[in-house]
Amino acid sequence: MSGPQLIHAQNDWGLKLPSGKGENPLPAATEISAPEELTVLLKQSPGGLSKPMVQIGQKVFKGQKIAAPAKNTFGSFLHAPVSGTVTSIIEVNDSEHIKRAIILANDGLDTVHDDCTPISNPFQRSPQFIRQRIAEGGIVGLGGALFPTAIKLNPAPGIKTLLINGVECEPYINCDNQLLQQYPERVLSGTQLMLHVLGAEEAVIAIEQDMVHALVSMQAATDTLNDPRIRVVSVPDVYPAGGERQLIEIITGSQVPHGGLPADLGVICQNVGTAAAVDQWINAGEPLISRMVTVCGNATTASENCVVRIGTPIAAIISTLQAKDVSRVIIGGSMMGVTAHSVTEPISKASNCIILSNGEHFSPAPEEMPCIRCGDCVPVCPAGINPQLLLESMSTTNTRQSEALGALDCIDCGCCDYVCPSGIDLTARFKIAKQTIWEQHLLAMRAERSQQRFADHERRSLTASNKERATLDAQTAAFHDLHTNSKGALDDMLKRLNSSTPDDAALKDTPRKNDKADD
Amino acid sequence: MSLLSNSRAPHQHSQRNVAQMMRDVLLATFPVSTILCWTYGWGVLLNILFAASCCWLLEAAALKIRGRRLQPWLTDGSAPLTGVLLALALPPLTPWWLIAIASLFAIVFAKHLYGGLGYNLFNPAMAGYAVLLISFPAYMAWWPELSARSNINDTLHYFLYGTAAADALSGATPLDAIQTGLKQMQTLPELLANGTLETAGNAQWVWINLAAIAGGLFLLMRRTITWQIPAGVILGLALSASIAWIGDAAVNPSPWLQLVSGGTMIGVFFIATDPVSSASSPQGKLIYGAGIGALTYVIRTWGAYPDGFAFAVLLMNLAVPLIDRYTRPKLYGQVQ
Ligand code: SF4
Ligand code: SF4
Repeated sequence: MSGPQLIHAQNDWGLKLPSGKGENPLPAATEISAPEELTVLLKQSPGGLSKPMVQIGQKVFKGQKIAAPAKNTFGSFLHAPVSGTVTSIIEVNDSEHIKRAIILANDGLDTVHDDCTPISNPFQRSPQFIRQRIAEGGIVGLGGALFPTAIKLNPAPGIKTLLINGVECEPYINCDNQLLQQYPERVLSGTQLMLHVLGAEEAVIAIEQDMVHALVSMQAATDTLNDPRIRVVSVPDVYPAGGERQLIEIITGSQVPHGGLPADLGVICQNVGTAAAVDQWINAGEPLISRMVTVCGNATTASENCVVRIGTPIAAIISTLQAKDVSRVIIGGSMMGVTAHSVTEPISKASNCIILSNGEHFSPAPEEMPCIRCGDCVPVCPAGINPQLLLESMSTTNTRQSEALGALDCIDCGCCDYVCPSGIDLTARFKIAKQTIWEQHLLAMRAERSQQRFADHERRSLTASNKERATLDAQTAAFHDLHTNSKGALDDMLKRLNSSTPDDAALKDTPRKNDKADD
Repeated sequence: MSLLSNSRAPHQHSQRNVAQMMRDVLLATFPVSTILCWTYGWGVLLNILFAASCCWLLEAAALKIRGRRLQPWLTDGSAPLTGVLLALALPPLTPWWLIAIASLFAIVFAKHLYGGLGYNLFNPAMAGYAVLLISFPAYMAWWPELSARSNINDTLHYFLYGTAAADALSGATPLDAIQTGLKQMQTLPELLANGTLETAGNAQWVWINLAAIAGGLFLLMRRTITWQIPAGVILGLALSASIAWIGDAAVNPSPWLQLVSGGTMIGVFFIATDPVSSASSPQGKLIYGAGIGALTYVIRTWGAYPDGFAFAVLLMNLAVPLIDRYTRPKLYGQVQ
């Protein structure tokens, strides 16, 4: 087999954004040494919350579990990124700057915990065992959604293809590019492990066309490995081709049905970073305690990729790299990144990129004018929304119209915003619309449930209604947590909450059960 | 270290803006204005300058009355553009008060009464022009003879007083000539052969239309307009014309004649493409354009006015909400 096959896209959505990823092979990633104090956030993603398993003052080892997924959320196990002492646990959000977190004092020794051992001969182990192990390693989707990988790898019947997403299409973000160039074999072995768990027929590693060096190194590693199930393909450099559903559309030529899951097409999608993390945990015994982070922006001289321990405050990165005049920090890329409130904010499992800016915008939107109905926003939308009509519908209080026009389908990609000549902050407005709609749904659902519960009261045993209340609480939490998330992710989560299999329940339950893993 | 946190995603923008789009369109009208001036004389320039200033002043007045800030509205270029487009539709000799009335309707009634830029239902320039067509049909039908173009004095005189100097001759546009000729039971080949169309400036109008196309191509290249509306209008008009022309070439002008006579191409590229009053989705734009083309043909053929472009645009403006509704793109996943 010669070079990777180029998949031609049949879609016309998206933007051609200069990514500048092609020119040179990347130098090796910089290790950022662990700071004296680390802040491990308990809530790293909108849908996930973890509960502390340690006490203040307790000594912990590197790689030791310090928090477990909270019930009925999509949190993950969190591990101590360093060895040291738990100095405080913040359990409430008392201000917007201090978040729920475990604060660790680093003893500088990096003494590794006993649990951190590689699994020998993983392919001889049962898929369930590996899946359970992946959950214990705190592995989550590193593309940004942080959905627990083990839950996503729950083999539904009919999964044919494992899609490994290396399409890093958002400007500035370069960490997957680094992984693909520096550690292609990690990505491959993680892919093989996930194939084993899923029992899928094939794995497709998709890489953006202009990530030429990543393509070369990945293809070479794949040729060397010579696993007939795995192939590398390249996709056009269009933003946001790396969105899960967008990539599936490009690769398979069909869209995930509305309200459905990728699994409906026989596809499971995982990020390359996730694959590498699976490999590091299973084959090298290191749980997810560090990640590749792109550090760039006009306040730093070098744009480089760094290996950073989870929980490292941004300030520590700034001082290590000697960045000057940082007055604005964006976590994520230039299209979807969020602005940090403070440099004390730590790196989480989701932090793929840190843009250190000296305050000047990249290219600010013009002063806002009314929509001139130019329609430029329509063809670029990857979710098939007419943003102009959606915006118009938001001028009334009737959210049903906004919902019919796709408010919940918006993936916050920012394409419409980017092209809008009137400088309207469409994306931010659509996020608010989503929130309003979810809140209304929640209210309606609550009313319906309480009515139902009242009517059925006599027939119900106490445990049953407790159970139901738990489900409702979980859904409430999911709604609240996820109102800013995309419809797709929400659907995923709600579906899984509603149809939680015994297996999932075990994952979500207390860590005590993990010792009895089905080996 | 305190951080600026007032930035929302996306942090990057294409750098296009409304004022720049309007400037592009203004710039793109340059070739066609030049050729029109060349053909019909100083009156065209006078109209353009007067209408643009009128609209701009009225915009300022309307903003003041509505208690709005003058910025950025006064520099967004939309008001002068309305004036220029209006002027391009007018006969080369138009008394100033008619231009003032049309500007008033365009800016105050069609635009600001609906809420200003972005909210107007109708194309402001065409709304203003339609008022003149209905209220002052004689003035609107009066086109000077081609040879009268160089006389500045006469032009100014007419502009100020609305009466022609004794020796000024009345001409006609090719579309007028065709309508009148057909009414007098002449056939098109006859009109061509006896030079009626030639006198009406058929050849010059081809050039005017070509100049408009040049401006339109510039706008397409700059992505200030998209191809769907112009393509729709051209297809709509050419198809309707072809059907009739194939049926009876003696009384039905050829599609080519339809496309290059009158200011058809000015309409195609500058009038129909007004973003605010047209459909927003790509398919919607195509339908909107085709509607304008077909209606233009209908009005030219059976209507009381030789050129129906303005009315076709206004009628299709009314259909825009409906078109938008039925051309909504399919949401992701709803395609199957
Ligand atoms: S932000 Fe939402 S509406 Fe805008 S282009 Fe992206 S998906 Fe479409
Ligand atoms: S791009 Fe902006 S101005 Fe144009 S239609 Fe969309 S929202 Fe309106």
